[in-house]
Amino acid sequence: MINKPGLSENAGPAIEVCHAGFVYQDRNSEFTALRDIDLTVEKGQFICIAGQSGCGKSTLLSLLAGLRMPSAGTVKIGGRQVTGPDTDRAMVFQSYSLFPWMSAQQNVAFGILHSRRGLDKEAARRSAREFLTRVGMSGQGDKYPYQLSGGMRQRVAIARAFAMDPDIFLLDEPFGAIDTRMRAQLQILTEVLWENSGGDRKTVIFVTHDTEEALLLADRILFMRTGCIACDMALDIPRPRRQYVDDPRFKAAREKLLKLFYEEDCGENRQ
Amino acid sequence: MRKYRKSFLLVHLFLAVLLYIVFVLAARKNGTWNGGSFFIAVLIMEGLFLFCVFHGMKKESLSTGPFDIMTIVWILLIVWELSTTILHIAHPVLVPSPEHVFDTFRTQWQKMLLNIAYSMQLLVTGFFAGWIPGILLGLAAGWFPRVKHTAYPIANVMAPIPAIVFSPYLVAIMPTFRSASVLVILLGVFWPAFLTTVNRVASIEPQILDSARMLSLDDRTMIFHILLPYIIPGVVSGLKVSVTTSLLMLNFAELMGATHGMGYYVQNSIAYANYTHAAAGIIVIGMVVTCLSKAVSLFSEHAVKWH
Repeated sequence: MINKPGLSENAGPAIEVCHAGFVYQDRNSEFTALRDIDLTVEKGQFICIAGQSGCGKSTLLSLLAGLRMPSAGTVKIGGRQVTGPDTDRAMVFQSYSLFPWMSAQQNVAFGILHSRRGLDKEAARRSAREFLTRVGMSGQGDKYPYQLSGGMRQRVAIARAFAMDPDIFLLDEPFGAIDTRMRAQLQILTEVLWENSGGDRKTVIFVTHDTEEALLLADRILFMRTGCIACDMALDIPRPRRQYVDDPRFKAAREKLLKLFYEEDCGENRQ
Repeated sequence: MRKYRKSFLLVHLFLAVLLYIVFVLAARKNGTWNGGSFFIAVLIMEGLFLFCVFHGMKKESLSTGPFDIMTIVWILLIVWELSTTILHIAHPVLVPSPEHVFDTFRTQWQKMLLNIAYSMQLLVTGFFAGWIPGILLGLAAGWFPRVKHTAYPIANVMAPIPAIVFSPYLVAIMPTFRSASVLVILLGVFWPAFLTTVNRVASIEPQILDSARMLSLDDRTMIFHILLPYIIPGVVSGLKVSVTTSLLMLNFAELMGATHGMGYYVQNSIAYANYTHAAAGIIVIGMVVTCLSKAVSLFSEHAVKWH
């Protein structure tokens, strides 16, 4: 299928980052995590931010989330400057996205109640059950996170994020700690939920250090290195990508991405 | 069980020796026999021991602990009985015989129960009056930096000063002894509860906090739906220490000038040189403490269901 970047009636990009920088400050040291980031993301795009650990990809995501404020520059979501977290964005972390003291269903319902205000508890519960079914977790709603496997926990976290009905969906290496088979299932699930999210398709920012994952999911891959976006590549490969892994376009993209990773390795070794 | 057969036999060997001394030697020596209460106490101890052993066998968690402890208890009772009734090597007034001490439970049980009830009332009042506000203030300090920057330094000064040190003063300035005792317990519980709560909140998993922040919750929801449940497992596991601290405070408070209570009972008995009652009172305190800590452990095991 063909991706339509942006929907014209709601004019304006989903995300605009302008000259953003971020410095981690310690009592006696400073670390520049991001420098001079410029980025525009159209509505409905699936973006993967790839790069090795420490390149600043998670920091960039936390700026978009509003969990951290940029040290320089501006971050705008839907045309408005970000001043903190809001429910127009939902986030899934690598672990501990769920509250351990709530059952799976309570977790999802809690997210719904606090994002889609005005909904009564019973409606939130019903909606939570529905979303759990959509991620293949029907009948498991009463389990606590500790009773679920890592993959199931991420399913619930994804269900909560989608159930909150945000405009932008932020994922911070969500499948980084999941075994390969389960990861493939979760990637398909994420893609399906995104594709079926209706006319105003969600914008997804997906941070990963797995090149294959980025190639399978992204409309556009941002490759980051030492706090900068080193490469911004659009992927014009049809979905589902798993059927196109032997496509020359896929192979070329993979080669390019691996080269980017490889170059960084060389750079580090030389130091 | 085979593993423990020797220990089991050893325990009952000592029990037999003890019973022989109590029933045969002591009875012969005294002329009149007054070991009934002591005998019942020994039976209860043996019963508890057998319960522990069978319970441990059923749960397959049996260790040598109960056997060794029981052996030590029997040996101590033998030594006690021998040195008082039989050999008369202990001071006749300062060290009462076990027969007399255990007989106190028969003659004084109503008074003892009353004193236990009085102490428990004081303990529960003081404990909750210190514990709950301590946790609430700790939560507030964990979430609002301004509260933390004010309360935390004060707590660091106040917490290490034991309330025991100034409790005579509190007894003097408070209108009733009761209110002074409650205050002593309250102070002993409040600051530690506050400090540990602040530290627990500070060590919250950053991703849990970020997940919560992404829901842009208001302060109340943040404190009562995120921070409070997050610290509950830690609070529950620290409950035992808090209860023990408050018991310590209670017994100190009761030494100051109480008119009822377990500590008072012991203190008063000593004041009137009734060491028999004092020894019995000490045993009662031990039993109450054991029951309390058992109750707290049972509660802790079942309180948190998401672990």
